[in-house]
Amino acid sequence: MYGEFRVKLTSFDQAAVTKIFTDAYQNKLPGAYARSAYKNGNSVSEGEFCAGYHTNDSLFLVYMMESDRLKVYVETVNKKDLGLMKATINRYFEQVTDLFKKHHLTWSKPEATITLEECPVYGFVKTKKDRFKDIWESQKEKLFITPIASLTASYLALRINILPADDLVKDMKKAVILTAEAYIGVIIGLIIGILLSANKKAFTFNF
Amino acid sequence: MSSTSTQNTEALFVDQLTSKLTENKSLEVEQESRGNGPDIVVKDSHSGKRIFIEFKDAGPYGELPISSILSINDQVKRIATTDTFILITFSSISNFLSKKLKELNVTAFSKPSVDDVLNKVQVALSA
Repeated sequence: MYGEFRVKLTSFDQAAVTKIFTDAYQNKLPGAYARSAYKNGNSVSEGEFCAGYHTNDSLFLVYMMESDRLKVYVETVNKKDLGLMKATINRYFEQVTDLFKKHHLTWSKPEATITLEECPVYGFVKTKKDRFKDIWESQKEKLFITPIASLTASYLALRINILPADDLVKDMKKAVILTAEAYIGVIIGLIIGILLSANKKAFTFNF
Repeated sequence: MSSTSTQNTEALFVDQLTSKLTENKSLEVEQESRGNGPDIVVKDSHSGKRIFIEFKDAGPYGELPISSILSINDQVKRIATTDTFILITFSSISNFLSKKLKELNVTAFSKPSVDDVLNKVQVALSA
């Protein structure tokens, strides 16, 4: 199981990118390379990476840039824990993008993948539109289905004479209040969700 | 292209390719189940030459990750120097990965037709 994430850099000066990583990670490339699956040197040599970093449980290696794409290889010591791989990719992605921010490097189009033998897993960063859609999807039942169901149930109860007209009015008022509350909740949720998306950059992986 | 539609394309492609390869009576064609080995193995019963055909998919990522070279390298190491290894993908292949595949003498096809692969198999067997 191996991970990779990539971003598009607006300015792609390889020497500058290498220096930024080397300064930030104290040139841990040789150590990271020596612990990686690439270590035998048969497929990709150490010189074909511009930076690397390792901890006891994981490592990343930054490939030399191709055009304007920066690609980062991620490996975990535990090769079977998909959750750990996802968390590791997001941890390194956050570190790398924080580094870009610090050095005023503009990046876009973040994408990630995890290779599980024949089954690739795709990761993407949710945009404001995606977050809006998620909140809307999760709340639409409260906004439409519940009030309609409540009113229909009250109406039917009235029609078959098990609910007095006064109770129906009370039920309708309750449904209107609950709907208004739900709308306010969704609006607050949307504002918080969209505001959070400005700061939260992490991959969501789909299966 | 979604992962499922890529898998369907790949399954259809494998069926068509296997069917056309088996029309040649001098070829033994084996289709492997998913695992660490290649997906199709073609053997010329006269010369004994073998062609290993491997399929790889990048899903919505769209491009084979560079680390694909790790498993391909392992597979190429296990075959004889007279054998041929062909990689087929319906995703794209970066220039860097393409260069690495050439170094391993792997013929890589991105979104090929069945005839492209058949031609390559014939050329490799007659070489």
